[in-house]
Amino acid sequence: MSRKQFISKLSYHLSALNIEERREIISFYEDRFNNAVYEGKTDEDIISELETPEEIARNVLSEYGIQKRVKEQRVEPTSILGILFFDLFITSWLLPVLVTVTGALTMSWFSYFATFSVFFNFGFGTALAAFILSTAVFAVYLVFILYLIAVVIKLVLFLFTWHVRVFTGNKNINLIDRLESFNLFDELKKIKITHKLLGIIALTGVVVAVASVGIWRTVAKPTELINGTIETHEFEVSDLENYSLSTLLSNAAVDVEYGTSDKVVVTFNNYDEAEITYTELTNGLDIEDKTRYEFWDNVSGMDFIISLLNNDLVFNPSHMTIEVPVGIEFAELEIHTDNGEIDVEGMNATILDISTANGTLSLTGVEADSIKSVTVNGEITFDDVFAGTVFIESVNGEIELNDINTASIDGARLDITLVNGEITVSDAYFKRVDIENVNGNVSYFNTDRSYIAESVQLETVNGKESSNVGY
Amino acid sequence: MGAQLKKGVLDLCVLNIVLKEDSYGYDIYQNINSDLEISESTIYPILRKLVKEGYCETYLKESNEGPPRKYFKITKLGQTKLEVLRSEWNSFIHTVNNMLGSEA
Repeated sequence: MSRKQFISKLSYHLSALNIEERREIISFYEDRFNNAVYEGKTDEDIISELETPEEIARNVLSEYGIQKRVKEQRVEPTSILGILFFDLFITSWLLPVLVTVTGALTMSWFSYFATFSVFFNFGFGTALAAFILSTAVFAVYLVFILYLIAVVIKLVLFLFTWHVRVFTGNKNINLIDRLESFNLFDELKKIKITHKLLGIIALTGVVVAVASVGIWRTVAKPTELINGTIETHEFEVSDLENYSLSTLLSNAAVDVEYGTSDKVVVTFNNYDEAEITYTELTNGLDIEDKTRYEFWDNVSGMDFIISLLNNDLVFNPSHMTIEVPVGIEFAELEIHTDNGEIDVEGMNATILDISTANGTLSLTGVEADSIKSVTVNGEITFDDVFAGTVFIESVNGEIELNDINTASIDGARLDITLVNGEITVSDAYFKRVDIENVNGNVSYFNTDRSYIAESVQLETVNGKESSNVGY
Repeated sequence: MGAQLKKGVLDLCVLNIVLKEDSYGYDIYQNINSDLEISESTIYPILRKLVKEGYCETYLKESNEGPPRKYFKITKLGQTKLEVLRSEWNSFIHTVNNMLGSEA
């Protein structure tokens, strides 16, 4: 019997003990062998000095108060048929999924530099800011991945050792021990990477990431130019009346306001700093790269469409300002952006249609026959608006209307629909008012209490309706 | 001396040995075995138990011949325990002697 066989046998006979205890006991015998050489003894000499593994185990177990029989309990009770069924229905998909997902997530960590450059190219402040944010994010991600890998390794080893147990009993107890006691974090500890350190890394990462995004958001409001160029385009306006203007923007905040020039002036941040070539037409621009943005005039020569598509996505949504000559009267003013605020000040239009998916809408000093204002996530604010019919729709956000005076117009009508948020309407003089909300209060108060509407309908499912308007 | 009788006093003997001098497993065994014949495999679980209960501590010590050995060192708690065991032992042999004496 060799030393290895001796230890292996001993380990097998001690299998009723847990790993730690078993290791401690075996370590005494390993010490004996290790020191044998220095006493001029061979392994065989030591083995002959020692009791047999069976005897040792019996003595040791009795010291632990364990009868020999107990060790059989360490053999898994699962039958081979059971384990085969488990493999067929669970392991067959669980194992590949775990390994693939973990592998994919781990590999994706290496996209650090790609992410950094994405942040940078999309103009997250400066290169330094982009570097700090991506580093922080990836520090947190690394910690997450390490824990994930540790858990998956444990699980895979468990499955494996379970199979070894069921198929070979305790014959391979040493292998099973070694596999079962493997812990990624024990290995990491050897190179001074402890749970505490990882916790600190993750926490620091989260704090730095949140802080840098916070700082970026306060410092880099979309209205300010960070690292793009400001482009200005001017368009002659031949007729101040019956002009139509519409925008089709993917990620830009829009301000529509009166300017000092007698032209329509469109200014916006071009973060992409790309060279744009365009040809000037009578009433607009034709820009070659139409996927990015384009200006053109329609057949009549009176309409004016601005579109700015696929521009900078998340970090630096462009900010566009459309200044129009004082006195211009739009037949139709249609302002649409997918993500961004819309701010309309002092316009005069027959039809005013403003919509965004994510962003607040604000109208001040606007005069229109009909106003349609739609957002999904964002506040809607009307102040000093004169309109015949007003249609407002939002899902999440507050709606606040103040000073809307159209009492004189026949059929003047206010329609508001909201799901989550407060609706506050004050001094809105319409013939018919219809306000619907689901979660949130609805309030409608007029200063002029003598005003009687034709009909006022306030409705909310979870909230309070309050009004002093008679009808 | 019967095996059961021996076992009862092994804790006492081991603690007494490591009180005098820090020692390693095989050495402790040989020390006891020279006076009281016991099997090696009985001593090791006791050493392990004493460490687990906090009566002993271990540390690795380089030796002149051979790899570092695990040395056992008595703790404060172990010293108190030793005193308790010692007085228990004294009162035990006193009682037994009395019984035997009165019978004789």
